[in-house]
Amino acid sequence: MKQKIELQKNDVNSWLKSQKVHDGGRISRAVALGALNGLLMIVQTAILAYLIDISIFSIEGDETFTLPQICGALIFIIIIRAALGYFSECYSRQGAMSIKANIRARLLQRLFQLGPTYTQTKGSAKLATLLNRGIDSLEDYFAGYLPVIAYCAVIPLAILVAVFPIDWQSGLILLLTAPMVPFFMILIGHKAQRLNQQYWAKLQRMSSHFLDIIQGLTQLKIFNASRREIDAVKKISDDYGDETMGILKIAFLSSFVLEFLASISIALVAVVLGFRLYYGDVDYVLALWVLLLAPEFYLPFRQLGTQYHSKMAGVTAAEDLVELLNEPAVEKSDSVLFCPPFDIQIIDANFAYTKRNNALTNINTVFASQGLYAVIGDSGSGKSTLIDMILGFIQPSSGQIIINNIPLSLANRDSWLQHCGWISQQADVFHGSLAFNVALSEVYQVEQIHNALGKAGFGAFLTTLENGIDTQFGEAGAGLSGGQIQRLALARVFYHQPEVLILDEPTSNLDQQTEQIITESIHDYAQEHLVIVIAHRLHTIIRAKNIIVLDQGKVIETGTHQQLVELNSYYARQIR
Amino acid sequence: MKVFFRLITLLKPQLPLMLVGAFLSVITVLANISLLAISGWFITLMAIAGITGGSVNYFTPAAVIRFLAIVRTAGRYAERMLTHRATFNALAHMRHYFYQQLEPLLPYYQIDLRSGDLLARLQQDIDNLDNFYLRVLLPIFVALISVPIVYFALLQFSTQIAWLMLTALLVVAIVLPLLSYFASVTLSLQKTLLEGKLTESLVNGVGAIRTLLVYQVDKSYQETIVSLTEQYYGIRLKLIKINAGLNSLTFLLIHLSALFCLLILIPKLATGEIDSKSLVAIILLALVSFETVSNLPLALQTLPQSLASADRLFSIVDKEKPIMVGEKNVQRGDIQFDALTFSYPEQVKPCLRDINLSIKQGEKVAIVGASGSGKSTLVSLLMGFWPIGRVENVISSASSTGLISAETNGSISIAGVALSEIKLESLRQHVALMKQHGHIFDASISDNLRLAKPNATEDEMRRVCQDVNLLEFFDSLPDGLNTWLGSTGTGLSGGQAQRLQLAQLQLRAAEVLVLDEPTKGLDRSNEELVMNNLLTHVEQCQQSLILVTHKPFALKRMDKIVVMEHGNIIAEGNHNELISSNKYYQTLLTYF
Repeated sequence: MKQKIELQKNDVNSWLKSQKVHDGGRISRAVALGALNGLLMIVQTAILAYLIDISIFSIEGDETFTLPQICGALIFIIIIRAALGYFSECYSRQGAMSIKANIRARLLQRLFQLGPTYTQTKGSAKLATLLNRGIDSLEDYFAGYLPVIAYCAVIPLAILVAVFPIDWQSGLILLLTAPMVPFFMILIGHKAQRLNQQYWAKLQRMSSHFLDIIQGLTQLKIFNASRREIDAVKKISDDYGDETMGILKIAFLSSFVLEFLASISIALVAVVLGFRLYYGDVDYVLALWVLLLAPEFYLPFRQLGTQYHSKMAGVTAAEDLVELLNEPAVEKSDSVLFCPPFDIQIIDANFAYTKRNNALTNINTVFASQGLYAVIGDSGSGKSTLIDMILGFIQPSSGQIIINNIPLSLANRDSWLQHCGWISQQADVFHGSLAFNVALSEVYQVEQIHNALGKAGFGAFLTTLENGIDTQFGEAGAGLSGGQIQRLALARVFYHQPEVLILDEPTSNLDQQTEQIITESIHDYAQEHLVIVIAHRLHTIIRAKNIIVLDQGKVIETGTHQQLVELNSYYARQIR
Repeated sequence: MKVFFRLITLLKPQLPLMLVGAFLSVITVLANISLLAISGWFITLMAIAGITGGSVNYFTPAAVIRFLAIVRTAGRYAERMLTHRATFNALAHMRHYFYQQLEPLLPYYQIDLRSGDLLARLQQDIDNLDNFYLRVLLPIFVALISVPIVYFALLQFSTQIAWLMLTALLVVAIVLPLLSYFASVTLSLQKTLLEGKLTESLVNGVGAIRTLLVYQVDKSYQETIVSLTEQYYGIRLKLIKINAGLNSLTFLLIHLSALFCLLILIPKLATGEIDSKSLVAIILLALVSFETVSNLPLALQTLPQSLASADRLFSIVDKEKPIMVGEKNVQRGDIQFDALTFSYPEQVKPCLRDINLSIKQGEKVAIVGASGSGKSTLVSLLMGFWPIGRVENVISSASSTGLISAETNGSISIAGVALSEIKLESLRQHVALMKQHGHIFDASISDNLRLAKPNATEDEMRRVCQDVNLLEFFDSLPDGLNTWLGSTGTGLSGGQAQRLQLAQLQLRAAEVLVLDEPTKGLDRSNEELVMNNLLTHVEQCQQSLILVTHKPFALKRMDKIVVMEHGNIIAEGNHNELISSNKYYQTLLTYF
């Protein structure tokens, strides 16, 4: 078990590293500039030490370089270093951002391949957080941690190379203390990693909880529970603060240890140099140089100390990202083209949600070319599951859905959906204009929008709107009644004219009068298209070509209204 | 500036902790500066002693160096712990504050505040505020205290150096940040806007994935996200460039001013105005002294962001609160609608027109009518979701804010007390509603039930589940009532979710039950069962019942049926009266 976790961790690490290819070489460029900056720092300190030395201990006529020459060189190097710092920072951030943009695009694509059943099981708020903050927490990994790792390898080594010939004792002190840094970091890092995972889980929970509270605030008010839940918000935030403090404490402790180590060794170097100076063992200029270099020696390690935590945050976030990306990939076969008219055959299909009983058992049925088909049954009988299966959102655990002799799969789902329209019990209304909600696009034809709205029985309401089809609606259809939302969804269908229309209790929110209009529209539509409707108002489907009755996931009756009435069983009981 | 001080006021409870943290911060910075200066002084001292061959007291400086090293390291640790603790306390406090302020605003402003956007605003803006103390206030405080100290320390050696360094420090502390502020102020605003938009689009899009997929707009949605990301990162890159440029300028200033110090001091060394030990100390001090202001540029760059976030948050909380500030408790009694007229914003026609209706305590009333006839609105008003009464007040605020432009006339009263005088908690204790689009929470089944009644026992919950015919299904789940319902009630079919809400309603010990289309999405057998159980429950408890419906079911058992059309009540009476007189009612009954 533990091995498995280790293995996954390695996967995640190597996945993260492999993402670097998407930066367009910017991070490598940033690292090169940063390293050059470090090397110039060594030269700069040397010149500064020399400058101080000659100004204190100058002997007339002994100068190899004049004061202006030295100052000029120093200023030159300082300017170069400033420029290097600028470009290094810009490149690394830019690189990190292009990696993140790339990951976000790929994740979204994968998410849409996996479809609604996946987002339902994982929780859409959680996934949205992952796509947003999860990905953003990778930035410091790429722009901070990766470059610092490189600096840790280059700069201290260069300093050692410079120091050893001058003063091997100081070099030795630096060399011996350097490995202690990673050692302590790993020691502390292991504990922090675990805490970090908890933290991330907590952040996600918190985010989805807060969204839930806001979305359900009206409901909470109805329950008189809003004040109570808001007090809970305080507790959750406090817990979140405690949790974050737990992680930060460790981060601070590790940098405390690092700084302590650095301070001690700098002090040691200073003392050793002091005494060697006292005995005339070493030139002042060199001693000063070494003293100036000593803090710089530890700087990359100290930066690593702070960046190590961005590494861990990155790795933890990446675990969820990798999980999503590692969902079985789908081979898109765009070559498969479905051509109307459609015959949908369902052969021996079974399906079970995880941890639940079979939702569908041995379904065999055919929806052929045009006409109205109805699926009825008690709630929980598997009607919606069947619809999801026909739309390709879920795959039967055994059996097949065959469309015009082509088996429906995740691979050809999208080309199948091109021909489908769908209306749920409670349609999605997007924030935007009425026209946008019908066309689902900013580009639309005004006349067709009006036609579609008219056909859907929306016309009368439209005339009461000051801004007509440009009226803005809130999310979840604020400003629209239940019936109006459904009519809007129907208008969407009439606008898009799909070959196959699937309706999930489309008239459940409508009053009789409107229902009548809608039912007529649907029947008209079924003249030339394939329409499958889940119905619970049975009078809407009296004229259906075939009625399929589901009970506990099984087909118990099929036939026309007349046939089913004569059968005198479940269906007949419903309309009595 | 007003926003700034308002934020400070919000932080008040955390101020002591914040001040202690800030002082520790100052001490740490000063210790660090002294450490390097004294080290340089010490080395030079030793070198000179080595050359001249004199003896020196190296114990005192060595001890001072050790002491400062410890103060610096321990101080930084303590300072970080304290300041971060204070930050999180403040954050929790602020989040709580903003949620509290938000609560009365919903559902009034539903159209204006998209939930995705609201989440983005709240979460991100509040999180942005965590920068306010740590990255804004703290650096300002540190600079204000330690810069003068550095100046006076340098003044002991040379006035010229002291002024030079003060100028350099002030340039880094004030001039550069001002430059960056003006360079980034609009960018920061755009950044926060885009950030919110991105979050909102992600939340909404992932939620509506099914619709996006079926209508083949998933590609265009993905493109929207990609372009939003691009825009967002584009803006961020510009900000990063400004920031990086600023850092480079600061770097230049630090090193050049150290060099100038040296050049100023060299002649003084020759004249003996200053000794060589102090010269080294001053140069090193000059180099490190910038630590006192190093965080200021970022602070002043963050300041507009924090203020923008705070401003947005305040603008939400400052929205005109509904004027229902009644203090009275509801008494058991009749509900009376008197000449009530009401219209939603942006709609020409009033939604309700001159409604007169009385519902006696214990009476069972059905409201029927076509969709859009105003049934749900009537119920919303009874729940106090939109303000009624004090009409002049509402209208005048509408014209100024342009947000609540609902117009009301007439009144609703319970037991003779106008709704506007009733305390909302009491009202909602008294009247329980089952909404048409109820929200099922991302929690377990029993958690959802307990929202309706916090102290509900297992038995009670099982009983109401039995009443709505869900118990069998719940028991078939491996985790029973503890089964986790995904976001917005996934795991339940539409009808099951509807019945769960009916179960919630039955747990409420209210005097009046209001049901808005309770059997929507239910099949016939469940509808019958559930409604019969409910009616029995209501009759037993002598509760009033208001049933909004457009189905014929259960109408015979009602005491009164109200028929609505286009916002008017067109008929009122019991089943027998209406069946002979009202045409709409007649057609309603032949409905299956």
